[in-house]
Amino acid sequence: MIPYMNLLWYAIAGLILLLVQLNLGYIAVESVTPDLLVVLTVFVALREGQFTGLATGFLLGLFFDLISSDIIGTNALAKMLAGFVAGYFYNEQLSISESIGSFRFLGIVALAALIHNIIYYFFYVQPTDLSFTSFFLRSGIAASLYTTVVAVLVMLAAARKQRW
Amino acid sequence: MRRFAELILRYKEYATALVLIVVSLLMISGSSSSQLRSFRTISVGVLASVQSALSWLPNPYALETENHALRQLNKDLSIQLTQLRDAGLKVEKLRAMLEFKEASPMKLKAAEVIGKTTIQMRSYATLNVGEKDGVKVGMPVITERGLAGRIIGTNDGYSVVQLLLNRDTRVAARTSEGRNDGLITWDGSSSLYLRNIPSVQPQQAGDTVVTSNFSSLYPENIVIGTISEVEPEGGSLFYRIRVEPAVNFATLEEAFVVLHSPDQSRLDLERRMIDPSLGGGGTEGGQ
Repeated sequence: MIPYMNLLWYAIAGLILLLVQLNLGYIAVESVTPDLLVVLTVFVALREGQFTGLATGFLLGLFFDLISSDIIGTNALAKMLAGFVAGYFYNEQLSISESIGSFRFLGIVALAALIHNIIYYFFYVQPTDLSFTSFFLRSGIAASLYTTVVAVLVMLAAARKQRW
Repeated sequence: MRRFAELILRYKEYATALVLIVVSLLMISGSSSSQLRSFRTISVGVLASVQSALSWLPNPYALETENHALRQLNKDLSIQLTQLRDAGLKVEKLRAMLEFKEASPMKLKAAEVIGKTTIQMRSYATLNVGEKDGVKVGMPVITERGLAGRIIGTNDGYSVVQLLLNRDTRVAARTSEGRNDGLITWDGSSSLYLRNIPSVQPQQAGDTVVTSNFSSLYPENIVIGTISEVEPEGGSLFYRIRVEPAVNFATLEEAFVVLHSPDQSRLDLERRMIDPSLGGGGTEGGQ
């Protein structure tokens, strides 16, 4: 059972990141922005397990779909599957510094972001004449890398907690 | 039933994932439904309110972008302002030239200066009119302000003007008030000099200098410039009179060619009279 306090923190973090995610233009590189919600989804999946991870991904994605102009359901599906995949790496024996404050976390974020972007961009290019492959290779991989780079901050923060 | 429930609980992650995938796909396929659209309208409204409430927070990116856009706009407007000023000046100039052409008793051909050059203290300008426009060597070139020079070379479409600021300048001239005749020359500065005016005749700054009827090359009474300084020429009986040209050669962009050819019979007569004794020397050597 997840502690209520944790749920509250995740909800607050989700709300803040939803707002931040919509205003990430100032760190955009060639229109590519990191996906903070994927990072949070992976974080929750690694801390609370696969079920919570996929539910978190779905809810965050759904809210993001509703407040952004995306096709409703695309972010929900993509983030849910990202959380689902990240959940496979859940290990309740690991402390936060071990599960989050290590390069393992970065690898899982990169994998989850990649899966997320495959699904997301698949639906993204549907109403257009864009080629999914070329678009994913150009933007999807870049977005995944950018998300992983941002996750370094989370990793460093968690690693610092270990020293405290 | 119980077994099914246990199975579901055992594989709750997969079951949930499956259900959520189906729900997501249903939402994707029905994303254009009016209920979803109205819900989105509400959520966007709520988000806009939140963003509006947080708008006091500085956004460095937005400020930088706005700053950049304003700088670009400022630059564009400055360029437009310069172009408009330039166009305004040109319109004024062309209007003055048009009025001058209409009022002038001389037959004029308007021309544009398409090039200027200075070779060894000799200034030239190239005009976009030539022989097919009736332009011939020797014709004077003027602006609405005064004499600019003389055509020294032509082809079908272009002509070259030897400007007054030229070491070969020799123009028979006269002061308009004192009616004293002299010779306009150039010594390399931005001014001209009126020579051969005897120092016994009073001269004053401000008097206008015009072409004289002694000139066989120019029609008389074309303004050359204004006297700016009068001083005795050391060791002689003449003044050295500085004349500021009426034409600003630095900004010369348009001009008129005076379609005036020298009176050939007069030139022939003068040449016949002068040649035996002087071998071609005269008061208007270069011009």
